[in-house]
Amino acid sequence: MGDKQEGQEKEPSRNLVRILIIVGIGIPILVELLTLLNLINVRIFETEDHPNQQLKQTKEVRTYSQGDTLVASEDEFVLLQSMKINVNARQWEFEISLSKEDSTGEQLASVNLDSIRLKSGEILDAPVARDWRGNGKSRQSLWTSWALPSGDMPYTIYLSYQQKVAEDSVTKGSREIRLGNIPVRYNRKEE
Amino acid sequence: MTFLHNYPKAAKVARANFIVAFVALAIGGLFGFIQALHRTGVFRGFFNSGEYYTLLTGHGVLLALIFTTFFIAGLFVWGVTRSLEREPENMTFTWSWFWLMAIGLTMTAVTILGGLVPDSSIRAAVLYTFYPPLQAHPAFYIGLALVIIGSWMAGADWFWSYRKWRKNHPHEHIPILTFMALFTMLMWYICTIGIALEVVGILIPWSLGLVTEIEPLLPRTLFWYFGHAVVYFWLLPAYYVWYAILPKLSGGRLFSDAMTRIVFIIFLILSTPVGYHHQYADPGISVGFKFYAMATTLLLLLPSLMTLFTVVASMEHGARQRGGKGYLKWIGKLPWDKPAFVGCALAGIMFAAGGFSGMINASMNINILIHNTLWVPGHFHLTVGTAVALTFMAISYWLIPQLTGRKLKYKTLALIQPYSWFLGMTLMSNAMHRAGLAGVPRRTAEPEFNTSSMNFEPVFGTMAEMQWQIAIGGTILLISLILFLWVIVGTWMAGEKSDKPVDDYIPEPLSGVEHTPKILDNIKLWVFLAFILVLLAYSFPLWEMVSDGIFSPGALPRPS
Repeated sequence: MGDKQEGQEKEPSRNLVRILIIVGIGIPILVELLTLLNLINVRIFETEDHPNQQLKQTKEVRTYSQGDTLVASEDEFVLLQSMKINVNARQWEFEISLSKEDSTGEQLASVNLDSIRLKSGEILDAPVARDWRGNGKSRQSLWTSWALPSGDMPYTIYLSYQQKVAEDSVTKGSREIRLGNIPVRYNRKEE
Repeated sequence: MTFLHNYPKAAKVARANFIVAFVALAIGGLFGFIQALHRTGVFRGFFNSGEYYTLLTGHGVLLALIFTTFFIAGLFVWGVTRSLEREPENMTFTWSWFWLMAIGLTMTAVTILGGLVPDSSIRAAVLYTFYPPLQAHPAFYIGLALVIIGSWMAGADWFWSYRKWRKNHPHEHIPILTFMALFTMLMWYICTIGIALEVVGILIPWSLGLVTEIEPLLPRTLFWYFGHAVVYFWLLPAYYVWYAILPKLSGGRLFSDAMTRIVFIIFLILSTPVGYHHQYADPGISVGFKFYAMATTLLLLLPSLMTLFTVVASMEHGARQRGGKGYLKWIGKLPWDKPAFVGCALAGIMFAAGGFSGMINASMNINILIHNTLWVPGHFHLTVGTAVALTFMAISYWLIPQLTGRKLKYKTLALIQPYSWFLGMTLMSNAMHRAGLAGVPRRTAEPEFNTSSMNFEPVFGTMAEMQWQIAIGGTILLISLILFLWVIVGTWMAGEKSDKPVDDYIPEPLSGVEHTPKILDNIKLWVFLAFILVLLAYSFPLWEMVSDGIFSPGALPRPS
């Protein structure tokens, strides 16, 4: 070995070597041992469902995906017509469209898409007030989109609505809609 | 006198290769750190999730293809020149393969980094695996093709030296350092046939718009024909170091010359017909061929276990030379204060762990548990990310002084580096494996995307704890990488000049070349056997894929 010939460069002290062995090898061995013991513990000494017990106790929250009905009454309903994330190299854009129908052919209730909440907790207001459009009173649709902050995802949308309950009275309400799977579309043309 | 003084031309070539390798390591390593913070959600301010895939591609290509290939070229230039005791035969040829690879690397790197330039049409966010449907700029594929052609020429350069040497030494065994280099390159020639066909025959015409439809299974299969054997192209040079140099660093001698040759022969024969184990979930390949790939993959455990035995025996011999006694007490007598030894030894230990997780990947029945999950990058960060990368870094502390004629500087930092790499990688990889078992996907900037109705269920612990473990591990790895680069640059630029900067003598094996059967040097025989196994694995499935036209989608799905 060339230890003695490696010149005047200071050799590491024995204490440093001990510390390095304890930290650099000791901690990894400890981490792996704990992993092994936990795996053995879970697989052999605990019942199958125990590790997930906490999850199962969590109240299941309904999520909404494309085609689901968001608001419904006897005569009319609001559908989540489509939603997707358009991806290009510069940004991710969340796009959603709702549709509402009324089987009676009368004036539809007023529904507004107020805001969305992201996974990070940030709330984005509807970027531009958009009107419902349609070729008749009985079916209309609304489309809007948000540019998403880097790395964030839509989590919930907030709707407010007014529904007719009688000739001269309406009921107001709001809904918090937890979103389910959102398709992602890579849009090369926008680059 | 050291290598630089004996073979100045070869030393210059080796240095040039190492410079490129270390630059790729620096950039690729930084990208890896950013990825670790981004996908764990610990810090997402560097780039957005669209640009993540550019970083992911850069990380994979720069480290797995560029760092490795250039480092291996430098290592083999050193090994072949030294063991044959002759400079490269024609320096114009030698520099031409280096520059061809460098030009190819530049083209590839520019297309990848173009993804970070707003409005750039030059992009290559196609990940390390780069098969369709993801499409890169044509320059990406052409650049990779040049790197591969350059590496073929490098291999031809070493065979050229060997043939010249053979004329003067007709009855001698191939020197072990050259033997290992040549057999690694033979394996490389066989496995790169697949990637050459894919890149030149399919991807370049497709990216140029010359063809619009392709059979998707064909490029995937051609990629994985190459894609797993390339792991052994990285790994065998690490074995090269463990067999040829690590025993000496331990204070001992290689246990057996013949065993070393047998291990490299087995890798030559078995490395390529294993690619289907990356395609267990692919329809279009019959289950019988997948089973065949599983069998050959698991057979590769044999040379790995032989290596474990041989290298540990060599290290034990070294420790006993240094006064080590007892069944295990001798381990304490190993030079745990020498960075080159520590790095190689810890890399070997990590490789054993990587081998265990690799057995899960290779097994058809349980692969599906971890298929395309974070387990898989957890696995290959143990193998290529540590067994290979840490070995290359560690042996640089021994090679760079020989190539520059300068003594190693900052020995304390150099010693901290392999320990910190081992610690950081354990933390990161352990959490990646556990996250994979919980179903966390790989290759995504948004691992929890679309999971509002589906929570990952860790076997134990919490997802947040795993994410932090990955982020902390990745940070320690970046610090370790900075230490390495600091030591290397410091040594290169300001190390004390010396005629003998390091003890570069490599002793003869305990069971020397005189006990080695002559047949082990029969290159033609082993290459022939390797081709037979490749033909058995690939001829029929590939024929099925191309029988209705190379660019025509339509291979029939097979039960899988």
